[in-house]
Amino acid sequence: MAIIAQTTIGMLKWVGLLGYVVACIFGVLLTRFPRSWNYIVHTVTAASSVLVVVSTLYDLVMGHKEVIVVQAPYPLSLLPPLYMVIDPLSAFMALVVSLVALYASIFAIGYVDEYYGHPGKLAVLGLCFPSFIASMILVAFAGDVISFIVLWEVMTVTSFLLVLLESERLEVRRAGVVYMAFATFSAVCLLAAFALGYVFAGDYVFAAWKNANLTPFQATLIFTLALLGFSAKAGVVPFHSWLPRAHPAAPSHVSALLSGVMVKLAMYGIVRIALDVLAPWASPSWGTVILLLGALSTFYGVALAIIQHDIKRLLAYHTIENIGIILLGIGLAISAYATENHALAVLGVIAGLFHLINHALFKSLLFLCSGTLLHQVHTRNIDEMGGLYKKLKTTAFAFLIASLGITAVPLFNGFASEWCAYNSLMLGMSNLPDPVTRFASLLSILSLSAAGVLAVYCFTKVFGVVFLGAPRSEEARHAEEEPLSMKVSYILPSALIVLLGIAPGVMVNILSTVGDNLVGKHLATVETPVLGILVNLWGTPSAYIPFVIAASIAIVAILTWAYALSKTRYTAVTEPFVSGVEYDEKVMSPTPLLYVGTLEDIMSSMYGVRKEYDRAFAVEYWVLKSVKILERPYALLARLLRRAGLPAVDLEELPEKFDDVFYAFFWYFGNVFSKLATIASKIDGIIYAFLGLIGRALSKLVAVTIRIDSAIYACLWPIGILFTRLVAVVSRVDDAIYACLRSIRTLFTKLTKVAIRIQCGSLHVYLLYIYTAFFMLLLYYVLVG
Amino acid sequence: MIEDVITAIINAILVVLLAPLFEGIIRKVVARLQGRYGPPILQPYIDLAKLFNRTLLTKPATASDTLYSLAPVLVFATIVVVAALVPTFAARPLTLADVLVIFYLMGLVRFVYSIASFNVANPFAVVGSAREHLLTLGVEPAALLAAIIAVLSVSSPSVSWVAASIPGELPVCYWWFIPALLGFIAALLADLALPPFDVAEAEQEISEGLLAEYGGPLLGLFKLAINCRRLVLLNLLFALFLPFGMAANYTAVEVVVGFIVYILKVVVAAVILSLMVVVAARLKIHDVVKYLLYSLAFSIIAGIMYILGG
Repeated sequence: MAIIAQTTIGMLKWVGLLGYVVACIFGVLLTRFPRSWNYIVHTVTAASSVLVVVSTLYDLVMGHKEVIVVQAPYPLSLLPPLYMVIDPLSAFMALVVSLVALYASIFAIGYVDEYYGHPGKLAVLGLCFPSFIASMILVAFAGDVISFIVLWEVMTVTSFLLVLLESERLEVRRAGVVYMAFATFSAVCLLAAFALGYVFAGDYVFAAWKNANLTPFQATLIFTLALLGFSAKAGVVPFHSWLPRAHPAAPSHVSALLSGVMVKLAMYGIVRIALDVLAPWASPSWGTVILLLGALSTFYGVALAIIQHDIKRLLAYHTIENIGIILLGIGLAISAYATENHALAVLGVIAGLFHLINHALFKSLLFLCSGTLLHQVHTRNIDEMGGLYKKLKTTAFAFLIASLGITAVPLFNGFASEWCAYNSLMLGMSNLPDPVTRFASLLSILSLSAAGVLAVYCFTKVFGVVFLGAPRSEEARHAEEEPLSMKVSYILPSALIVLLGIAPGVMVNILSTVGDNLVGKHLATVETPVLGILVNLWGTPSAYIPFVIAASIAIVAILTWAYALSKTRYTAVTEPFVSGVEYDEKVMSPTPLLYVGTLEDIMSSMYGVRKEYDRAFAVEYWVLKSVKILERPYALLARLLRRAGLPAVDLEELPEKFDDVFYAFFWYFGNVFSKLATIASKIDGIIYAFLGLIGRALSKLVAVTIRIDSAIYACLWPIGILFTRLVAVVSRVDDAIYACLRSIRTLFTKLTKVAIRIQCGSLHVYLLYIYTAFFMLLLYYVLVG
Repeated sequence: MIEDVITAIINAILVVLLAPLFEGIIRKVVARLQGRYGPPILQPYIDLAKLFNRTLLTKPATASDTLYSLAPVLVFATIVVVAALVPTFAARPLTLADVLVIFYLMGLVRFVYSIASFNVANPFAVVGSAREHLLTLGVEPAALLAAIIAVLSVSSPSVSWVAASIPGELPVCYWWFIPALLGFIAALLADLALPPFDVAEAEQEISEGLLAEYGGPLLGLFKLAINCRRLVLLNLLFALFLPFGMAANYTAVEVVVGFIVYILKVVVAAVILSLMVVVAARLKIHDVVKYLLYSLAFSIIAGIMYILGG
């Protein structure tokens, strides 16, 4: 291996990556000594993460750029060399991954004692946890098709095994199958995109694609396939239904990585493909599509999150929302870049990437807190918690800080990035030439503001129900204090959430170098005053200086609080006032349903027939059926795994609700048509009445004119008759339209019934062919061509 | 710079001092319209003085002490800071915050209010704060979009919202101004917590929600904060859409005119709002949400007009 690094600090990340390998080896070997296994694996992982954090932060700040060619020793040297590219964007992604990995592995020390009795599980955890982190870091550096797809699949497989860790529960096995289905779909799309890119551009290294002769159509085809692949892996809305199943199923420190980091790599992929690899052919419509997807995910994710009772599922739905917000920044950047609006493109990149790191911080912290709750209270149902701030003080405090971050309260980091997103969308609405993109920006603003309100609603619910009030179960009443490692792991993310909220200018400055590097022009885009953001693109200032606002709120609050405390002296406690009835804690203590019931009622049409499930689109059905292609090879693997005492699932255990979903799809169409029929019948009525009125007016006019002039009478009479006839004709036409719409509706109802019966038999076979064909093609070109 | 800081502090003091008067006027006018004699206009000041002089001796059993006393303090402090940021008599740009920061600081207020209602474990309080969120769900997208359009149309491509309040460059000149103004006012009316829309603090229905659990100076802070919030929202309307009469420079004449015009605006708004209070009966939360869809429709129409024409 030939690794040429220019600096010692730059070398540290390769040492860190070796550290992950060491952790893997210990993770497999030491399973008979669970306690030392725990300390060694997680300490080594955390230490390696520190090295990678330091090294990538250094690269990022120095704007370091480097291409490393990896040539394997003989006989593997017959294969083409692999490329590792270090630039500000990939350094930033590696920084995010290793940062989250650092405190997630510290948290794990206190968390994994539940698995001490199962050596198989310990082996899977010890092997997959460090290699999952390492593969995510390496994906960010991958500079060619082969290393990208291989590392991407390593990431998928390791995360799949981690999701399946508690595979004795049916729910987890189902989640695993659904996750694998979407991951396969994603891999098929990405492989297709990269194979096409290789065929069109004639090279497997990304850097060479920029100088190739692609037609706009070819570029758009590659982009579309890549977007499909990355969206499926990120849980963007039409492809989201695996995310709220799989993320909660994993152990909590892995959930923190899945939700905090893994989905972000798909975001990274979109930025890399659209703004770097295929940048010369970028078109505004790419950005518009991403904006619309983002707006949909933003609202849909949070609206579904708010009604959940399972805390990890709720957090997973919030990930969909935040992925949407990241997409808003990225989409706007692509549109702006394609229309040569470079300053706005940089602002969009800043908005997207800033929210990316912010979400990585607070979402992983929230998942760690939920892990603590699971570990101490042994439930994920928030209905069974309550009053936990007395026992779990540190967790309550960390959860509060993370909630303030995720609800975009000013002075915390979430607001700073949403502020950037809003500003770029506003500028997009006024500056971009294309009206469709401008309208997409308008929709995005609406979606973002509604999501902001709902996020506050949602997290006040979670915090209030879990930590405040009175305990609602025996487990909650007897919860014990959290282990030390959990408390320690909260420190870093909480501190960063507050720091990036008070001084966002630091991160904005760093990200502007990433944006400048992508856009390829150095622009004086961002001026940072002492502590804050001041985006100065056109000479007119727009500022958000949180430090001053925080200080003034603090001054007023401290003065008022001092006064309020001097005037309070609690000598007695009261029961809550409930209109004169005696307060009964069991019945009257506030529940989540009390808080969000009205919302469920108002938005019931969105939540569907069964409230626990969202109305997944028909996409899920096709994707899940297509995974059956893996059935036979997988069954073999599953048998081997099970014989080794490792987790495995049967593909037979598919969830039962596909038919419902499929049915619902057609049912909606039927509904739409019957509504159209109703509207049509109403319109008929209006037209009829209108014509009748005109007819009546004319006949009155006739009556008047009889007296005045018989000539006018003669003239107007036939017009009156004409209108009467028109009325008759229109009423018949109406009937015809009505009947036509009714029959279409009936047709769809029938189609629905037919569709339920037909198993979509042969589809998966074709997908198998496509998958194999692309792989063979790729292999052929790589080895021979 | 130093003048701007002084202006901000005067803004905050002005709002805190005028807010009870605003309520007093509404109460008086409503009483006269209903044929009652009504309380004196200064009654809210007397009420507040009474509350602030008491000592609070009890607290709810399950509540955390710190959170119980900190909640009204934080709500009040945030609203005072927002009041300082919104121009009242002088339209000078203060590069500290824009319209987004102001809307989202109101989010902080809602956050603290809801947490406080879970803290006292009173079901009425929880229902009250849930309604507050539902109402805001209708209000905020419409109001924010209308505000953004007003800002963009006068100061494109700047996003500094204070630019909208520079006299001589009224947004009236643009034809999408009218739907934007209608959308903003329609949303604002629902957010003022005055009778047809006071679902969140309904006295008769949920016994004032969270406020029932508070007393003494803490209740006084909540009451003062609610009053200040009303005035801040009106200030936002004046600054974004009706910025006439505001002082552009700190000359004595302009500042005096600015003060007089501002107080006149507040009094006129109070009289108009009391008419609304008298003629309408309280709506249910479902009806409020339906009503707010109209304000959203107005804002979207304004947005489409802006996109096609701007």
